[in-house]
Amino acid sequence: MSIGILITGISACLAGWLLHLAWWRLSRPIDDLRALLACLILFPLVILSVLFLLGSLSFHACFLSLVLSTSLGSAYIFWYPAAQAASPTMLITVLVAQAGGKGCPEEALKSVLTEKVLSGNSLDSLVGEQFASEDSEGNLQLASRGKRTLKFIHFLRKSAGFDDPKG
Amino acid sequence: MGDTIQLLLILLLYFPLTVGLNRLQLKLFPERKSLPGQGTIARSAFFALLLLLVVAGFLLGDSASEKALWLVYSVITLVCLLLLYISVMCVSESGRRFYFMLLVEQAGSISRKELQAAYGKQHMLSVRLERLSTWGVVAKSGSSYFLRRRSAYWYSQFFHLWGSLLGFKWFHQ
Repeated sequence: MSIGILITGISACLAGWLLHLAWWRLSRPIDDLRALLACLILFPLVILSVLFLLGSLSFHACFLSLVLSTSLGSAYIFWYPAAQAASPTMLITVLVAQAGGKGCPEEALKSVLTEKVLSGNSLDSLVGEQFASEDSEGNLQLASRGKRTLKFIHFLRKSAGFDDPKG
Repeated sequence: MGDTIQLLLILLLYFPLTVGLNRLQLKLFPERKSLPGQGTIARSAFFALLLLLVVAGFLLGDSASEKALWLVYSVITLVCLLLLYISVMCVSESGRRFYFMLLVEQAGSISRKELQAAYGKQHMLSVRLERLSTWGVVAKSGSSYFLRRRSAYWYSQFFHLWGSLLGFKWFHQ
């Protein structure tokens, strides 16, 4: 283990993050998940593979840098939805905090947090990211990506001892 | 190479250990099943992280400087796994998109209007206000809510800033 491995792994992920930032600022992709995977997993993999092929990195250093960069990239991808579509919990916290000492009346919360603000583009992104499909009559069905995701999460929740969520 | 294999084994152990600790926690303290799951999830995730860091500290590296570098590497990768676990489990606990998918799965085929009626503003707000009150983040006095834990606000502000950096607007849909 050397400090170079830590620096290489973190730098590869940072390069992917800068690509993601530039892409989103120029034109946000429709399928966020695929674009994030390309920026934060695939792009660092390409950088590290090129460095390995050029002989700048040993196989061992390349592998450890890749594990580090993939870990950072995966954590980012899984937390990205929290920044992309504000969760109602965070919206409530921000509004109550902004009200300060005089408090935030429940009615004020209800008027600012409209159906549109709360649901955001959740349904559009479910279709855009291919978790669900929409037929010609506007009805939603689960797509195979959605079925796989639910299957995995059901399994995880059951293994951890949890019941069905409240939403 | 031996250290690398040991590190990979430690990383592979993280999820099964966390899930096991979560299950054990719910068995030992069944009352936690009725509370919002986030606290239980976070406790299991942190405890597994600490356990595996102790193991990594003992196993990885020969000299003191090598051990220190391995420990830094293990901290970063294990914290990423902790964030992954917390994110996946919390999404399944309160994520809107997950809950919409769950409703689509239960219905088979459902229109957007029916979905929004089943999981609308009133439901979203009441469940979350109850959860925030249970955590002690907000408290209700009269008809108004007051912030009790400033850390929750800073946490929300961090995500707000992150979203703004990427060009997202939270309050203007």
